Amino acid sequence: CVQAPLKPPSEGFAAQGRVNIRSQNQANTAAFHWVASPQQDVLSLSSPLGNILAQLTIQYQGGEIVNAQLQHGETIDIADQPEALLAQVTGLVLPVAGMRWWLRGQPDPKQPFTRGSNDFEQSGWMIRASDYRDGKLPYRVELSREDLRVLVLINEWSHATP
Amino acid sequence: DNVSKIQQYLSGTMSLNARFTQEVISKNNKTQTSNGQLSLLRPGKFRWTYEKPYPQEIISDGKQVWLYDADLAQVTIKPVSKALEASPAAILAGDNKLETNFNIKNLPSRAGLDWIELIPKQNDSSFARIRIGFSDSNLNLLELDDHFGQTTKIQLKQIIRNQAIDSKQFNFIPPNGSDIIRE
Repeated sequence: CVQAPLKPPSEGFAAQGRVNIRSQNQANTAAFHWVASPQQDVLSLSSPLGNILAQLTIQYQGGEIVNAQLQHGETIDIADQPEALLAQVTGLVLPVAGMRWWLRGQPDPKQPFTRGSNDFEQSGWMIRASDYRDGKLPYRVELSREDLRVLVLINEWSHATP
Repeated sequence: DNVSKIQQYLSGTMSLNARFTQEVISKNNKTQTSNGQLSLLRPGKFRWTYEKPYPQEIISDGKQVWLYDADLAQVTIKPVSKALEASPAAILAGDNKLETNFNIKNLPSRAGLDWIELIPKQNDSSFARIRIGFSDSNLNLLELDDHFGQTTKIQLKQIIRNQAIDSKQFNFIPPNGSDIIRE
């Protein structure tokens, strides 16, 4: 059965776990904490020692990205494109605009996508969500592009902390 | 004073073996706990093994660092970079004087320990401040403040100092079939 596409996170959600980004000659793993609400997503990336390496805040209006802000160390950079900002400052490539939906195993309803048997393709990425323990939300999401494989291992889902 | 006391302790430490508990207290004071095992052979060799929340190892022979993620069966090999300078492993296993990389302050005693505070000289360091708490016999507690109001507390226990240590453990042999990335 086709799951009804999720509405924007009206009440908000939070996910915690670790993300591994593997390219041809580089691999990085970071613990992440993702807090999504209708107007904004906040993604914190931390090292095994727990210190936050970078915190990306994406502002939305009417579901469109209007602003992205990245804090790392004591400096804050602002741009309108979150993915370019994250890559340029931290060297990490993450499809953050799509992840707001993909983390929950769903395509962004406003963008075209094609469904496979247990995955879907959108914005140039193949997204496969699995390990649905309680049936609603995945605990493993694989995002792949020809040059990059991003593996998201979630260990906790919760409502967005206020 | 405390600074020379801790400097003597570190330079007098040839090898160290300990269990550790790590607590990360975030701003909305949720606490994440991890634990594991640490061994080091000065200068420069260390093996930092996380058992919880998931198995992961950070190993250095002083020249390169292996990051091993058991679940992903992935091994990343990186040169010993400056980024490690402000990490507990580099402080404990590093061979240069603390003053080389940090401005140091004596702090008042607290929780039955003597304290110093290290402020990294390198401005893009991952931590804003690091405090070391030690008793007369051992270094017991490290507190690391990041730039986002979070504090990582590392408690060392069952500390075994200056006993013979097999240096082969600081040379990581990736299990066959591992995904190996050399950077």
